[in-house]
Amino acid sequence: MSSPEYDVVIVGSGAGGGTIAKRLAPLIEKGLRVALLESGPRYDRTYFNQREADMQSLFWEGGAWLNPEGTLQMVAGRMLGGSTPVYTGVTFKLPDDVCREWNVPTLTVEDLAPRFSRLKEEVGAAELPPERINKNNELFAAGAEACGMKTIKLEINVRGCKGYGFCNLGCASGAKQSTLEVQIPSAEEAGLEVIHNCHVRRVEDGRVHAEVLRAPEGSTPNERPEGKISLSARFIVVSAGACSTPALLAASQLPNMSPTLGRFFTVHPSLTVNGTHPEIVDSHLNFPKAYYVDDFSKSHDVYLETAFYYPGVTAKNIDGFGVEHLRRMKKYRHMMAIILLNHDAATYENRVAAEPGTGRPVLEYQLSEASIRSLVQGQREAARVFFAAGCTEVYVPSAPDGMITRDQKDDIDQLVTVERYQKGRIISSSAHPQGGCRMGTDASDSVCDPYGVVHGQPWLRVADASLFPKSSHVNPYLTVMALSDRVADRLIDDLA
Amino acid sequence: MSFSERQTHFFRAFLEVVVPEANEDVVGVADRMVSSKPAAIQKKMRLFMFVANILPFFRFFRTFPSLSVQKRERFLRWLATGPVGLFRLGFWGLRSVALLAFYGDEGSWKGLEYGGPIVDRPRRLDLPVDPYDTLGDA
Repeated sequence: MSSPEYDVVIVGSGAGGGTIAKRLAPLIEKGLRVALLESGPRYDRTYFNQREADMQSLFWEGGAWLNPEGTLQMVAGRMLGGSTPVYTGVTFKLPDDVCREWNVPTLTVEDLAPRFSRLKEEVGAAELPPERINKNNELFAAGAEACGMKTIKLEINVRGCKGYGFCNLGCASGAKQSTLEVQIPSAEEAGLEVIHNCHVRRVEDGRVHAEVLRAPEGSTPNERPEGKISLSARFIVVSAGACSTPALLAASQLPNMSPTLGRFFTVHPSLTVNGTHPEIVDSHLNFPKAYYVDDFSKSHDVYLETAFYYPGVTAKNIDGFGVEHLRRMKKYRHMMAIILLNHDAATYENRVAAEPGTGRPVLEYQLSEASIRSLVQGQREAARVFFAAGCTEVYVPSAPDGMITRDQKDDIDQLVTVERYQKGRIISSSAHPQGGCRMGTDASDSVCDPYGVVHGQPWLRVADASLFPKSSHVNPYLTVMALSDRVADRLIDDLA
Repeated sequence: MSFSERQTHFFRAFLEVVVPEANEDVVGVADRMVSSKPAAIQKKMRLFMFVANILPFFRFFRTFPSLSVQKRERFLRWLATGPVGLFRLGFWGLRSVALLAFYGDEGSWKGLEYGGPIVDRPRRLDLPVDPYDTLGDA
């Protein structure tokens, strides 16, 4: 067992860990010793072959990490870069009203604004040029506007996008400005040490206990031998994501931890629904996401965004089986797609726990009746958009047999019902886990202070979406980076 | 190989109803997919296949693969929408595996007129290690 010494060890390489590494880069150049540990392999962009069967290896549990009640499957990246190489690139700043609702001292709209501007510049977040907007997006905008909805253009973190599509299977051209492409290489140039396939089992004051795992074929080989490893560090920053960070802290059995550790876990439960258009849509071509609608955010806690999925995931999302399911799938190239995202309430009961013995995160999340109502309303609104765009059939799982035909389009509210949202049959998905190490000032109701310092453990910091005290309402990537930027501020002060 | 001989027999009969166009290759793809899941998930899938294999015996005096396609379909509809949450979960979970195995593989793409990947890169079949199944106690 080796025992190198570092000033800072960062656990996890997604939006949080990558941001911390980049902020520390100038100090690394001056001699600060920093290691970044990532449980997953290191792949470069040439690994991404756009085949969904092969690319399941990029995700924890093959991209279907289930909660025990089977109502939700989490999709979380497991590679250098965390989820940032496999998300679509949607870049939202935290809405001002949500920031105020969070009510975290010092975390203000004014504090965040310059961070968002700088970070957006760093990752090239901007609206897509017209030539990148595909037919699914054009039809969505036309359909939504015909329904009286206001469509808003998304900002996407790409530079030189070639429109290869398949963004959720890794960007084949490297245009997506993930931490794999931007922050980590930049920090490595300064001298950051990256240890991939390095799974952390436990942290304690001054020490990280981990194990180096086998490097899969096609990934970057390990520089360290496989086996147990123990690193000493003055400061440890855990950025393993909202599923893994609370579990790692729980498995570490640290003294005097807040009773809220792992609690107030939210996920943005989502459903992807489809409609078939008379014309070929080919939503897998070019860039899959350009627009969203937030008209139902305040009334029903749900956003509508454009989406795209490959045939296997699309087949899974469409209700039914057998000959009828096959008939629906034959129209794959004609399919429009919309994803519905519910911003769910943060409750004490929903939590991430650590499985005794192994430390495996267990997502003890129960889909609430309120979330089901939101997702049902989202299906109704999506169905209206599809029909207004010209679709002949719409596939939403809370309709009878999961389908509405055009001649039924005036009966959407009666056909798509809460009663037809049958748990076990309909499984929502999530790519936005949040909470579990919420910020606050008091250890009785929060895990970290407003700068990510774990209460009572000044050597331990958290920098990822687990800091969120409640749902961010919007895709959390940029908010994670901004909060991590604040964590870096305090860390740099403490290192001095 | 994750599926036992009996499980393979069951899955073929399941596939014939759920994805009628699937061929024998899909069984192998599904097997690989299941074998990449954490051990606890594999155990639940095996348990579901065991129960779904023998349950028809109490009504039709035959195990699932011995039923006609029509009876298999009727039985699966009961599992899919019936009152028992665990059966629903098992059915829709195994259905996901079958659909991902079929539509995720290029054998099905011609039927959809789907061109597949834009980039020409080699297959990637080596699965990463699940750290929680591989390592001992933390």
